[in-house]
Amino acid sequence: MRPRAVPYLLALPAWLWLGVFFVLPLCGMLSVSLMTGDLLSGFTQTFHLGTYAEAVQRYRVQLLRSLLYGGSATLVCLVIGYPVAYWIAFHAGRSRGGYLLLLLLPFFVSFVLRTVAWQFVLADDGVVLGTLKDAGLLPEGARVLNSAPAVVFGLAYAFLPFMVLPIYAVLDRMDRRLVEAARDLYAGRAAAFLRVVLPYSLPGVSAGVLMTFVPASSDYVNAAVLGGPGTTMIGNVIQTQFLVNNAYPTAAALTFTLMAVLLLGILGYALAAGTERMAGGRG
Amino acid sequence: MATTTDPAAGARTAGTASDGDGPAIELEGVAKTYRAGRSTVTAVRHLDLAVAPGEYFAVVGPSGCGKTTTLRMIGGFEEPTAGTVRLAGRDVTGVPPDRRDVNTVFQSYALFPHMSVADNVAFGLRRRRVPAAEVRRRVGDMLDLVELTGVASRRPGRLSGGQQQRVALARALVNRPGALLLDEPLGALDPLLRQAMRAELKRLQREVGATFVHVTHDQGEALAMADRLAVMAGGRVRQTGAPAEVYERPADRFVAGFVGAANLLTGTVRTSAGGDGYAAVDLDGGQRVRAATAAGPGARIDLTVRPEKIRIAAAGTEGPDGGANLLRGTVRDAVYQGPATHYTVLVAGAGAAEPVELVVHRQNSAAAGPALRVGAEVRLTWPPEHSHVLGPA
Ligand SMILES: Nc1ncnc2c1ncn2[C@@H]1O[C@H](COP(=O)(O)OP(=O)(O)O)[C@@H](O)[C@H]1O
Ligand SMILES: [Mg+2]
Repeated sequence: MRPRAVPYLLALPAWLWLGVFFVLPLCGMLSVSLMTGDLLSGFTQTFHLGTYAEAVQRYRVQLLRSLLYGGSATLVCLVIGYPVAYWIAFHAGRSRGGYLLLLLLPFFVSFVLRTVAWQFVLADDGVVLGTLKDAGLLPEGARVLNSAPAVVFGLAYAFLPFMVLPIYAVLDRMDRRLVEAARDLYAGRAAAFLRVVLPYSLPGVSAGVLMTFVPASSDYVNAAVLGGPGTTMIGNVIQTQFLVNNAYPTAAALTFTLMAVLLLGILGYALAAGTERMAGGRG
Repeated sequence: MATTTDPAAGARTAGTASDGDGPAIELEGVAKTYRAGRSTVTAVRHLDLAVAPGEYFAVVGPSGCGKTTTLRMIGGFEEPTAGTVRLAGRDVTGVPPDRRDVNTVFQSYALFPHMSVADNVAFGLRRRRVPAAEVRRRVGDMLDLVELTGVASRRPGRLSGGQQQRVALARALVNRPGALLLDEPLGALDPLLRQAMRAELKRLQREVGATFVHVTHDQGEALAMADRLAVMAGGRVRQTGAPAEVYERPADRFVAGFVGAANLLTGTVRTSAGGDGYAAVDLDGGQRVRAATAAGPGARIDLTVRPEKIRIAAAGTEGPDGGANLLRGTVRDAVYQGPATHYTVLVAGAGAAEPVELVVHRQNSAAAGPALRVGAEVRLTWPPEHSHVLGPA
């Protein structure tokens, strides 16, 4: 009996799961991205790297737009989510659990359904715009749907809890005496927040930014439902290439490109956030 | 900003100017009731306290008696529901903590985990816009004083408990506050370190000459460290005084029992005090002792005798008792403690009332006789001035 082997054995199911459902498909996808051919004559492995260059060249705009929308949605989530997390952690008292539940309640409904609900709410003659137009507060031609802001706010709405929860988790376990110590050492309310609470919560912010940015950048539902032809994101392109055009190599190549870009982004961000947290310590 | 004068002085606000010999801290009729939903907890009932400048003042009492609440009202973290808090003569009731010239050493230290030790210590000075060069100098000096220069660039999380405690002290003291508030500052340390830190704290206080208010539930700590101390119970101060005063002449049963060990005796005055000032008292156990009291015959009184004030000797080794109180009894228990042996003696009573047990500490000094065994017949004597009569409990 070698006790050291036990943790590895216990982790075996997880490794198997990852292997079967993540690594294998990933390898398959990588292989597909290097194939040439079409649906009728079949695909053959030719290790053709040109698909990547072609795909990136053709869908550069959508790729950049995805990062822009994902980044904007992340920013909106941060601006809305931080105060929410702060308020629940510091001021909600014993009803904290209740507020967290309220925050998560919409997410018991399917993702697509929620997005469709927004489509209904924001429709050109829907509840909001229709009423405003009837009241003469908006011109007849005003619309929200099919615009970039609609997609960005849809994304922000969809991923808000991913921002709130990590920040809340950090703030909730923060010793309240730290704020008192800052006040005791001549920091006003604002200085205590900026010098102590904010730097302390940065790990939560980092986690929240990653957990929002990654799924928001690769999302396609919001762009499909709330956006229009001018707001296509890379996720929509991949979906179309896979399911409509059956251009499997192109779709696979785009998938890998997106993954690589996000991984690089995460890496760069982690490095930047790491050094920034240290810089935050300079009183 | 002009650097010819101490810029910190300009930033100092409520309660800095020392106005003569007035108290550094003064609480007048202070009370605090916490509201938690529909129920309320009165943590502090009615508190009058005055701490002199430069004094090492201890507040001691059992857990839950309102010590932390009292300290937090001085620091500005809680507002009293009644009464006035004054710092150096100025009413600071309602003034937030950042505008009070006191600093706190929190029970859990509350060091900023994301900053180095040096940045923790510099925090207060930077908030008061002290020039960078002066911050560096004062932080350096302070770290020297608490012997932490070697760990200045480390994060507090990597330090030992004793080191963290000294960082907390340095972070507060570097601001040269009018008073330093310490909440159970030694509570989180292991016993050996706690002993060492008692001396260290006293040294620091002497060197910086600041007013210290030290809150503790440990009466030994309060006696050993304080110039003066206040004994609290149930949200009130029971007695204030120098350690010897509180120990030798406790105001009531509570103080007598809480500060050190005490033999508590109850009796009735038989004859009022004569020319020597001592009245004869019949204890409820039937014994008769003498004690200084102004009470007349028939009055019920409580009195205490500290265990180390009583001489214990084997029966038969009669010596001159010179007007001392004399009781005879039997050793029920003997506990060897190293420097001293603690005896429990059952005192023979004349009446049928409950028997009286007295605790006696005898130094195991060179002059001490042979150890007394359980069951030995003994005689207990003490001078009547050590029969201390208590006020109403
Ligand atoms: N924030 C608070 N809310 C409600 N009750 C409190 C609060 N702080 C302290 N108390 C209560 O007030 C009493 C005194 O507490 P405290 O001042 O912490 O005593 P000590 O420091 O002497 O142990 C206790 O009964 C405690 O439960
Ligand atoms: Mg306490």
